[in-house]
Amino acid sequence: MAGIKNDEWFKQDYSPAVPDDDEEDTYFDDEAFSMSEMAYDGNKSPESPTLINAFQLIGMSSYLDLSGFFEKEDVSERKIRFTSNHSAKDLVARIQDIATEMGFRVQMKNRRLKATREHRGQKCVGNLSIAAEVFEISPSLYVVELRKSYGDSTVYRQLCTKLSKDLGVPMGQGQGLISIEA
Amino acid sequence: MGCFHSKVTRQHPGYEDPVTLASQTAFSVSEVEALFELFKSISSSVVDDGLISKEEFQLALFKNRKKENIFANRIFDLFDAKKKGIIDFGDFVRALNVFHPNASQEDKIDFTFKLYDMDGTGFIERHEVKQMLIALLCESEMKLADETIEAILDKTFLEADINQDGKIDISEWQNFVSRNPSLLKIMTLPYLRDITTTFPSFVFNSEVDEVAT
Repeated sequence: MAGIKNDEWFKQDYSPAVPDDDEEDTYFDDEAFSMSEMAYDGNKSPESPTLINAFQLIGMSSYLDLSGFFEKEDVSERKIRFTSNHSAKDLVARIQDIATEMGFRVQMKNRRLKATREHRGQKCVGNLSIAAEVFEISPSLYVVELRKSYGDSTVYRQLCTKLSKDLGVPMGQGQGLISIEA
Repeated sequence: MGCFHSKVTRQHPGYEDPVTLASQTAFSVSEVEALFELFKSISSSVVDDGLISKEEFQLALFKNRKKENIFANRIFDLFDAKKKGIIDFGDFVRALNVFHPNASQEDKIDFTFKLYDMDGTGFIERHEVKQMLIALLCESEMKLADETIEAILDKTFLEADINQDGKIDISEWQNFVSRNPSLLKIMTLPYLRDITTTFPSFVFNSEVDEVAT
């Protein structure tokens, strides 16, 4: 099997089946998309991002994420978000480039980007799968949410560091927490 | 096996029979027992009294973040269904039930409505949404100009507040969520599907015949 997978004939146009994070995709209703949304095609340019509403932003809060019950690591090791003045197209292209450079296979699906790095099709050290999504706040301001679907924390941190360096946004999400008086 | 059951109820005042809880929720009896393992570890982290306090709740979710937060407070309040200031095992299971991938959309929509209706008036008001937005921005160390925040609020209320009365009622919320299903993303924890593999020690404690479940 490994022999077949390594053969050039097999590798041509081959994308390994990515274990789909179905829970997230269930909530994307294809019919609701406007005409400008494009269907999945890895070679086409990225679709225009969604214009964010307040609840989409609010929903990004780590304090609304109950996965902490089931994960040992802090939520900041699984999820980051940052704003950028780069255009959505630029952001997506750069994330794609950086991920590809680091050996990830990148897929564009709906309005999201999935990047997976797997050695020999098995889950082991060095493997990582992430999902990123770009939202528009205004024509000159975008927010990117990046989440780890599964895999190696070290690689995840490496990817985030590279992204922050290249896209020029500060890291340290959730470090300086300020309480809000109710 | 009967001995085990009474031993557990002595140690855990909030303990409820897993068979009853399973019948009320999307969880199987084995899954409820697995949740009990999780509950035990959370409820004993600060004070070993078989109940989850606000502090233990935050510790379990946010590890080293103990600061007060409006979202964390609101979630705790919704878990604390009996308004006693603590979460017992029944509360825990019934609340997590809403986060099960198989729980009804209706339950998830109701939960989010109550979550965002911070002051419990039955409406999600603009000032509440603004407060939550600001909290998110602080948390994320993101800075937005006030006019940008207002623009986001304008756009949101234009879309959600159908009768334009400045607040979102439950039917407007249901409508809004049906058009923006990704808003329910926070209401599903895929981990709940694998709960019996994540917390397997229940297997040795189970008083229920596996075949019967």
